[in-house]
Amino acid sequence: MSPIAALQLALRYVTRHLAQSLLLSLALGAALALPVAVRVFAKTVEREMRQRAAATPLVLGARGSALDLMLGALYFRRQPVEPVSMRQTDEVRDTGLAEVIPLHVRFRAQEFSIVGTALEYFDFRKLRVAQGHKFTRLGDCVIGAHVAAARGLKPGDFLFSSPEQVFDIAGTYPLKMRVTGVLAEAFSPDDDAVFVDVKTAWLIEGRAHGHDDLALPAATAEVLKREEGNVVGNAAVRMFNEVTDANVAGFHFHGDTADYPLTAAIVIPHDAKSEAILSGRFQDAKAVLQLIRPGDELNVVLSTVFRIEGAVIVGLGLLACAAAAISFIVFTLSFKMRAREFSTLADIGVSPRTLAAIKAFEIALIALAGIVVAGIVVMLVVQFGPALVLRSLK
Amino acid sequence: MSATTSTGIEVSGLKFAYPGESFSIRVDSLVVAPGEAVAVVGPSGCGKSTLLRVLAGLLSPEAGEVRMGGASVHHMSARALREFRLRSVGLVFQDFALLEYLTVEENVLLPMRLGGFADDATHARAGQLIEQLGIARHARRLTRELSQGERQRVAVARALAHEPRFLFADEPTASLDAARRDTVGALLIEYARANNVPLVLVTHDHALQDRFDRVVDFETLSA
Repeated sequence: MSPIAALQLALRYVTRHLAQSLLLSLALGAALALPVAVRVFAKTVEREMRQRAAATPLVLGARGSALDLMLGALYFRRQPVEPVSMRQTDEVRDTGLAEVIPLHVRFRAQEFSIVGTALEYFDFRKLRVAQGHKFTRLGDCVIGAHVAAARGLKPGDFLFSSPEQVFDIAGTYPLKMRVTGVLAEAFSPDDDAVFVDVKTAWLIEGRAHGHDDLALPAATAEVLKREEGNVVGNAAVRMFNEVTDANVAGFHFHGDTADYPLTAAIVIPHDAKSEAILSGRFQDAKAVLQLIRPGDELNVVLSTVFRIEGAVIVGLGLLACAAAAISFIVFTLSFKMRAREFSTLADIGVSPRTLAAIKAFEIALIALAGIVVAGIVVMLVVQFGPALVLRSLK
Repeated sequence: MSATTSTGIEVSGLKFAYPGESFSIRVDSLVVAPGEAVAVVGPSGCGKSTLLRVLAGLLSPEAGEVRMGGASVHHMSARALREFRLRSVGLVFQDFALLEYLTVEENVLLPMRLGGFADDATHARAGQLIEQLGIARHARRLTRELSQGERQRVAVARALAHEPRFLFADEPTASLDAARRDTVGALLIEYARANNVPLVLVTHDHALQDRFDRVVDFETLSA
């Protein structure tokens, strides 16, 4: 008997019942792939999250949810955390034990987070400016690689901040920001961020503004009343929604900038001793601030995730077993329904071994197709899954 | 068609019963000479198809003997019997027994391919039979797309393609119109005569019976 002929016959059956064969292969492949894909996916996400957490020694923020603070500081996710003041972060810097990088994460430019920070942030994260230069003036921004690609932006273009609410008509105007630089792709949440100086973030927040100079004698149409040392403008005063070289001098802050809010601050201790001293200072339960180690917080999160992941994998494993059992039943029923076909082959003299080979080849072909499907699913999950998860953390 | 040497079919003292069933058949004696075309007739359900299956070695009798070409069919080993059927016996089944997901050509060549003895000559012969039976234009079509009559002709072509030394056919013209019936009947009989092959054919078709060398009433076989 010819095994090649048996394989050809099996191939004919599979290809001439293409829809059923594909459906069975897809079901089998998906069931096989899911446990593997979940495992690989979880491992990849964990690795990427750990890398960023490990690169961030300490995060200072208001006492409250450490997880929310970490998500805000590392992934620029707008979390409901109490702000800290610039003064409080300055106090940590003034100890001389660490460098402090402010972070202001409240506003967005469409779907991208606007991160108010200092120039030190770029060096700290080892971010390279691929085009243009870093921000140099109020109202400038440096955009991540994905922002540039998604919006087709380059240095010299402009990007508007988004209002916090659609009906916030009394709120601040969207700020037209000048793009001064585009970062090289870093494969991190920095790719999806719009970086501005923290003062620009405060400007978007409405703590600073720019308008026509009412002190000029010519500005009579915009002046409601002039008193000694004070000029009150009327509704005709033009508010600037863009910082230019011509009007930058007209922008001013109200109040003490030391009291202005930040979402968090990245704290980079000079050495282990400094880290221990700083950590000790924020151990007090009555302290209004907290200093967290992102790596520790991530461990807490991941231990929960992995407990869930374990249960999910067991569930998916059972699902795969069920799919295999169903496939077995499908094949058994199929062979039973084709009993006349096999008895014909036996009648014309085909050996039981050849008949078994025909059946085995059919199963093998479907299983092979299922494995290919499983491979593709795993590959797609590994390729795109972590990026989707990390993007969803924005 | 190439000449094939063959001796006839000899049946003696044959008894067969399906296990657990009261139905049985008995054939005291039947001889089909080489090149002889014998039609077996009888009422429906009398056991003609069962007799054909016993003769072809598909069923084992309780008693008696079937000799084909001098060899006792039911005393062969299972493997030898399979090989004998695959290479030496041509069978036309009542329900055609075609593989519906194969084309006409693939169905006709199937026994040779699975047996590992398909070659250029068998391909040529298969093509010739398909042509003779008037189904050449359907050669690449799946048999499930054909009419009953066309499928029956495919079954006949499959039975003849490997040049069997013994030929058995169960109602091979039941689904055919008069013209096709004549073609198929003539083809089987001509093959048997030209190749000195004994042919046993079960039929109800009176017109077809006239073409045979001998018509045997099943009822008389056990008399």
